[in-house]
Amino acid sequence: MNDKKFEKLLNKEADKYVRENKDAVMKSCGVDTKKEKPAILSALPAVAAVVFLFAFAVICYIPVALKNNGTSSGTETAETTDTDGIYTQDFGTETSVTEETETAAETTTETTTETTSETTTEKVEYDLISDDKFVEYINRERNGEKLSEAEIDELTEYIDNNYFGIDLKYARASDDERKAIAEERGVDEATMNAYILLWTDAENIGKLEYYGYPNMTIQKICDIINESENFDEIIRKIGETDKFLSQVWQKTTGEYGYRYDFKSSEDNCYEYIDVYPADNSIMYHKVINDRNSKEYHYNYAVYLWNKDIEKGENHHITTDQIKDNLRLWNNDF
Amino acid sequence: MKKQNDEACGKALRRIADGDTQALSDLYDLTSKTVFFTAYSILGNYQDAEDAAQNTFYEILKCAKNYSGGDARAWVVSVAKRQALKILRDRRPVCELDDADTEYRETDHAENLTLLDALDRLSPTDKRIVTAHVLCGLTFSEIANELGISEDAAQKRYRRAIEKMKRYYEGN
Repeated sequence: MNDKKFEKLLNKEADKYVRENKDAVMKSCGVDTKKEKPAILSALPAVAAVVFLFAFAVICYIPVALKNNGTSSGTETAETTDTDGIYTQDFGTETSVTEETETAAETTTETTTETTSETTTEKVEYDLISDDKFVEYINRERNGEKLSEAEIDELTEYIDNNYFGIDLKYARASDDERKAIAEERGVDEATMNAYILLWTDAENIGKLEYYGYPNMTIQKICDIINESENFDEIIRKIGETDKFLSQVWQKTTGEYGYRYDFKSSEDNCYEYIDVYPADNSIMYHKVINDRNSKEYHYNYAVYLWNKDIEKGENHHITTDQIKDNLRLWNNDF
Repeated sequence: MKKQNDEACGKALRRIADGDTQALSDLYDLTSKTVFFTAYSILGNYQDAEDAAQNTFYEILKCAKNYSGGDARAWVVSVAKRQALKILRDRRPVCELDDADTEYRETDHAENLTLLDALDRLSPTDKRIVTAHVLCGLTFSEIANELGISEDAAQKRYRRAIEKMKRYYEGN
């Protein structure tokens, strides 16, 4: 197999793979692709089947009908030839359809390949978060320095362009102002808070002086959990502590979760808690990075709250318990 | 073709921003391969790449209003890349094995194997080079730049990786 053919085949498989995944992706996004088909399109297979059956019946009926007409033997010979002709033509049509389909498939693949190679010529600019100015502003702001209005505007614009859903002005707004902003956007305040993303990608871990916002610590989380009666109270209190450092995601199952990042007391670490409203659980994560390698980090986790803990008699947790129970986090956790 | 494709992407993004969620389906048809394999080249496995692709389209659904024109495909790719990096940061429970540990195993056999299986057997770097070049359309110079190696080295690695994939694919 030559390279071109090989690349073409790989592209074809890749196309097939993503096509097969489409329904799952659309479903996870809450988009029903079947809806977009007009009724007539949905009915097409049935219509096609009826047309095919009718055509098939006609094709089968003609020779038989002609044969049953009881004409001379010479005519009969001619009819037989006709019959053969009809069937030959039928196979011919089928073959021709198959060829057309193959050609179409081939064309699709070629088009894709073409697109790919054309993309090659144009450099794709990834707007990854690597702007030193951004890091500088964030660090200044976190160190308690007040940025000027112009700087805030600049930073807001940067964030809007580079982080989705962040609105720094919202983060800095008073409660009343936040309500107004949320209302303007047609969502409730909790949703609005959850859309505030503040994360930095793997390349920047270590560049910021610290990660997350200072009000949140693992001790603070322990206090909140120990003072609270139930899950709702815990997440409400966490939200009050640092409203604007949560981020929201949609898990593959379609449910929402919230993430709260905070400063780690140790170097080369960042910490966060994940809140899963779907099963009333909260998980604490501690990620240890090797700053020299963005490819390299260890994620440890422990449940701070789940239904079993809620049912238990003693909800009291300590930072030592958390440390003792941390273990490598994986999908089977 | 590229221009048309980009215009169609931009149009789909604007429709999504206007609340037409069905336009996401069109955007998927136009960009899913690049999205998925961009994520795959970063994450190195299909499962995580599927998650990243899902997150990407979900994110686009929510944030298409932030697209302010320009290269729509590149905008979508940037979302995909960010989502992949996010998964890389958040989900990886243990460190990746290095190239030597996951080096292509010619003795491995699988039934109903595909070229995508063969791709998955390559070392992380080879996987990244093949994916970036064949499926994401990056030039060797761009790949070399991303990996911090020379263009010549990127080409050589690509050739070797393709040969390995061929041997695996054709040998089975």
